[in-house]
Amino acid sequence: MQTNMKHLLVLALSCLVVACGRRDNQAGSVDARTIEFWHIQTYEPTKPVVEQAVDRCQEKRTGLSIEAQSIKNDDFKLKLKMAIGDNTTPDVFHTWGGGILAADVKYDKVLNLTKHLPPGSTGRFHPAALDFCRVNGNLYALPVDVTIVPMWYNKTLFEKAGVDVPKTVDEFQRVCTELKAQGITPLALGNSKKWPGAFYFMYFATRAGGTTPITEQRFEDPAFIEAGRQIQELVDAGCFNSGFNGIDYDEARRLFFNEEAAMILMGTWMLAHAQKEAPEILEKLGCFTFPGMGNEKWNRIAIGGVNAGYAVAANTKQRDDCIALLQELTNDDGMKDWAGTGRIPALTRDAAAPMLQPATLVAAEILFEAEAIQLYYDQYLPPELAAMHKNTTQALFAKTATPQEAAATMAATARRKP
Amino acid sequence: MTRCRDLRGLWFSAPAAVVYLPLIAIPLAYSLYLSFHYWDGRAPAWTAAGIGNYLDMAKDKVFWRSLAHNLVLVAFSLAVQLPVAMLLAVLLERTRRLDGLMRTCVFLPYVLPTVVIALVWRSLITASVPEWLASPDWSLSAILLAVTWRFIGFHTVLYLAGLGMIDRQLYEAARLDGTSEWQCFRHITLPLMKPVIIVSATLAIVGSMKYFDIVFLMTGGDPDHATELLATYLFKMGFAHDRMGYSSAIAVALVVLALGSTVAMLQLKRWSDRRQ
Repeated sequence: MQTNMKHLLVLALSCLVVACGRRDNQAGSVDARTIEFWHIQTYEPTKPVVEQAVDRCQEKRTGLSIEAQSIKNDDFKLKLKMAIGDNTTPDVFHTWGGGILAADVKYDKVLNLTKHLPPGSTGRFHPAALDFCRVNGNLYALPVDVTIVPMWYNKTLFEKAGVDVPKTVDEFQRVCTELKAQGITPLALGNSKKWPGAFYFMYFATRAGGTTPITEQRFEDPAFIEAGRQIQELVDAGCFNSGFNGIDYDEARRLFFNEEAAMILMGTWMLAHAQKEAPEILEKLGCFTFPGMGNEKWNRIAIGGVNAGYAVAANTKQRDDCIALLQELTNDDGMKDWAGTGRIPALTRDAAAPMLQPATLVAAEILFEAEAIQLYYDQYLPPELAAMHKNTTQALFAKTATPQEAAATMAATARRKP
Repeated sequence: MTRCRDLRGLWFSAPAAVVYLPLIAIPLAYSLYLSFHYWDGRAPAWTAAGIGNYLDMAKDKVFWRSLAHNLVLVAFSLAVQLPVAMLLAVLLERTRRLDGLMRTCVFLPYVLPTVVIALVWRSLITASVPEWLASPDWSLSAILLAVTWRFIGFHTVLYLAGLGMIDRQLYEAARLDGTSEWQCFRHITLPLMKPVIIVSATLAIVGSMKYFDIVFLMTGGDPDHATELLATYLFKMGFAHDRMGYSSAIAVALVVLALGSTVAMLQLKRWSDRRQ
């Protein structure tokens, strides 16, 4: 009986060994190299753009095969973190730059590109986008897509209500009141995932205090208190659609596309959604810079970031192939394809402008005219503070925290060690 | 001979051990160890924390709120879900027409994929009463509704099986003595169903303590932690806030609570058996 069992076990184990072994034998010629590539373009039209770049790279570099995996945004964040934690980082991976990239760089998980790129090859990139890919002055990723957050509005609804594009926060509030009086929801918001509401917080804080309060992490700065106050004023005035903290961006943009709401504060990626889901809205679509407060300089700061960039694992065995893929993704072919999807390629104004689609051009103008780009707080801050910033902002919208309480929570999180 | 039999028994438990050790026991021990450290999920080494994470937990208002929500879920299961399941079981037991169809309808939510349930409830609610899920005061009630709807069929089927095992003659004898419906239920059905009720109550309590999926999919624990449960909170702390050690400490608390309530229920059963 016992021996039978043992035989069975040995048999089962040897099957396993054979099955595992076969995979290794497939590797053919000595020259064959494989790199793993994770990105987050899971749907049309951006997925084919990445796939084409991968194909081009494989054609140019004989013997190279690229195992590209397209992973959904939130799953990707989790998967990459796990991979980085146990040193199985894919050779090339998507990044948003900022605080998360910095956290990975801190433990030497990401290749410093500064020494490995041909000199002068980064001059064509948009300087702000490149900045988001830098940590301590060194470049760790190449940006493909730069986004900013304009206030989108429905020109027809504005005309119908007889209101003009607001320049200041006071005018903005008056426009909202007027729209509401005429039965139009002023602002579409889906804040269940917290990041869409955070745009309001960042803009109000930037208008009230510029960028130093966030770069110096003074979370109890009057600018942040003012941002909280402004948000709660909008909530009290009923400027948002009902139940905004329970629905997400997908549902909120439907309100805007269906012309139930007159404005939506959203990143330039919304254009791709508009083209696909409601192309008829495009001709009524306008956008303006978020309304300003007292300081003219601060009023011209845009909130934005790198929506897609690519980095290389520090421990890759095929460094040159990885860098070649990075260049293929960001060269003019790649950037032109990218612009064709309605996105803004992360290039200087001169390089990007000829590639842009007409609808993108209006929003890109805000980017090119901006005094500075403030990276989204949740990508700028280290992960723990980033998550807390989104929590406290949602609490402000839900009115479960006062501006002072939200600020105090942020400050306490920043103080807690480690 | 006996020795040989013992060894053979070990062999038979091997398949279970193959699953249990790497998937349950080792991760559990790993979590316990990690809960005494700080780790952001990236650093090559962990930092010793002593009981730091547990002290943080004691001071963390959101932790206590999450625990309170779990207890609300437990209370709601025991006070509403199980009695209604019992009522449904008794009614279904008596149904003669279309009983197969009705049983299927009651059980259906339990076999549907959770993602489907969560998304359908979410869209139903946001389309009809958009404020509901967004309200810090009311969103938990929407979760209770969806969770009850999902699990009530499971408990009903347990009770139906239990009812089927009760000897019909007992009811006939009672009828002859002129007992009312309620008296039959109170003095025959309930006492004989006790083992099944204890099993279903234990499952409901442990299930409510470690509950995760519908909440994660419907509200993600929000708005502002209004529907946060221990399991969703520990997930967030580990994977969004990068506090793996703290997350593990919450997980340890969760294991202690779930294990504690199971032991308590088993004791309750033993005690009530002895009383008989």
